[in-house]
Amino acid sequence: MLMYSASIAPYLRELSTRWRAGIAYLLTDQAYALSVTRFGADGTVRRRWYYLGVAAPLWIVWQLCTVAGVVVGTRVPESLPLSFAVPLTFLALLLPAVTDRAGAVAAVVGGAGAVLGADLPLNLGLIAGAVAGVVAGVAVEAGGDR
Amino acid sequence: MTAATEVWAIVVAVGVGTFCIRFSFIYLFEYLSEVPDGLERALRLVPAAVLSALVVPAVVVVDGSPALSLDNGRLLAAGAAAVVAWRTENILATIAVGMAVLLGLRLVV
Repeated sequence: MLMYSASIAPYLRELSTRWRAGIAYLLTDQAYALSVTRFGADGTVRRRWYYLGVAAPLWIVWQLCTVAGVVVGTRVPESLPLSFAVPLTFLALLLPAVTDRAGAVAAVVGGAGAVLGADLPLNLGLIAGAVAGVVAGVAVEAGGDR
Repeated sequence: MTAATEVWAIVVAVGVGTFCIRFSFIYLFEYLSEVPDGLERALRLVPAAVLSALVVPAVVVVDGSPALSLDNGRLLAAGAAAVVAWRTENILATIAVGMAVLLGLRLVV
């Protein structure tokens, strides 16, 4: 979330503090990934409204589904691999986010690093992998300039 | 403090904490007169790196260790889902195909 905040922050600098506080409150993985991909590809998009259009429905559905999960969660059969739907959403968001060679390197190193660090406590493998991916991507980009 | 107020205090504290993490850089960037070029380029790589770091372990790691054999149905399911994501950029279709392949494999095996 700290990395999401830093990564989306450059696109939101001209907004008021109140707007940015609201955006931070609604920040989820999916809202972040969709918005930042769109903001990077399309400079003309009206960012606050695009973000709100993504994040507000997500927030509402999240609340409703949390209630649904509390009520019927224990009755969902264990064999139904619902948890696999979550990485699938990230996968669908990942591919459009890779737009060049540096992005591809960042993704490969990020994924491999997270697997290597999967045993680390507190989700540190995810953080270490992501940081390694960004560093590797920056290195490739710098190498390509020469 | 009763148990109930204690729980509510923890809920509020965690809520404030997670908001502060989310707001941190979004708030602080106001005080940068301009975003340094190198930083901006590095931040642009965050989506690819983070999303991959979320996806790959969820597909590859089974019971704490990497499983790169065909016994791991998630590999095939994720592969099929990746093709759909790449061709259609449709999130619902990606989830549907990935789940269908995973469930199908479980029924067959």
